[in-house]
Amino acid sequence: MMVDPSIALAGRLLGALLFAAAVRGKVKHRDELAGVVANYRLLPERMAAPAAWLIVVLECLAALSLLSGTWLAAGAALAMTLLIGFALAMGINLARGRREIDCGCFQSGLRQRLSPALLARNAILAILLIPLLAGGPSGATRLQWVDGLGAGLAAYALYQVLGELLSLRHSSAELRRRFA
Amino acid sequence: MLFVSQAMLWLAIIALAAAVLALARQVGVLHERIAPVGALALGRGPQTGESAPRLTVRNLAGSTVEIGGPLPSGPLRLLFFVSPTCPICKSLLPTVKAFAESERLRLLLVGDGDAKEQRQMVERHGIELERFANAPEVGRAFQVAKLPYAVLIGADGVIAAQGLVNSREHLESLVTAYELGLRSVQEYLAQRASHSA
Repeated sequence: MMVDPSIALAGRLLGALLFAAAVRGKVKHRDELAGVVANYRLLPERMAAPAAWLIVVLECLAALSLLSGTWLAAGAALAMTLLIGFALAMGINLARGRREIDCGCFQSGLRQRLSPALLARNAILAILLIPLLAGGPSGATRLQWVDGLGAGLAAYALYQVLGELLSLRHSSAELRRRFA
Repeated sequence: MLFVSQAMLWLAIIALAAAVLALARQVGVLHERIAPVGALALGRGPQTGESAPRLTVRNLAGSTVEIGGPLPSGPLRLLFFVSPTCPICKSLLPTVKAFAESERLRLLLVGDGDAKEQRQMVERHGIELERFANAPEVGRAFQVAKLPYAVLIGADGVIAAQGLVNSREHLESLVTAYELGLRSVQEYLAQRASHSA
């Protein structure tokens, strides 16, 4: 598949920033991490802590591969697997009606509950990484570099905005209920 | 040069996105501040201002404890309803213990369930066995529907304040409500709204 190198670059940068931020958030909240994984109720409880750290390591590898461009196809596949895996875990819990649990995104100070919007977000992110499965972009011009890096950074900032707005939506609903 | 103008456009877009992000964060911070910090009263059972139900129960040490009724010149009494199956109850136990000591409240933890598990929970948190009663009838008398629930009883045996508590601030709000003569966080908010209107 021939994709413009700027699009592939944007995808790489977005993915690398996203997973780097995810790792940072998880390490910062490492005390809650196992509890969040256990809350998904997909694994036996004693597996929660090892699974949590496995996720952190895999996210780290994905971020490094996307950023540096080494084993790019494998890194992109790993990143997509993680995104789809998280979406599945959230989907199973939404189907069980457990939407009140924290998603574990650690994006904002506010707790972020599960919602179909998060599933859609993960699906879109995974789709953006598809061009990278064919391997790295080659021979990008200067203009394509500027476009790729600019679009990647802008997309990452917008991704953060989306996360913030999603948690705001929940907390404003909660406030309305409390003051009613 | 095309790529310079392109770079400038991207910079502008990124700066705008960052500004929107900062605004959204700020709204989030406001939301956290606005959230009322206070124990939420659930309008069931004996109300604040009414006499607390009088019961005699047995604590884990085996002696009897009186709940309700006047206790002239005695301290305020704090009933704290907990369960070993409620994670937030367990995380609040050390706070409640320290809070009761610093406010000089007579604390009684009330549980409803398996005596062995309750005893383990109490021992793990270093709470004296006299301070814990496993007595479902107390929860029924106060109609406690959600845990952890706290009831503050005055020296005259009247319920001074009560509500669902999730943090030290909520516990403090009970004592503050008692001192201000307010019945619940809802009443406080209503009063504040009528002042500002």
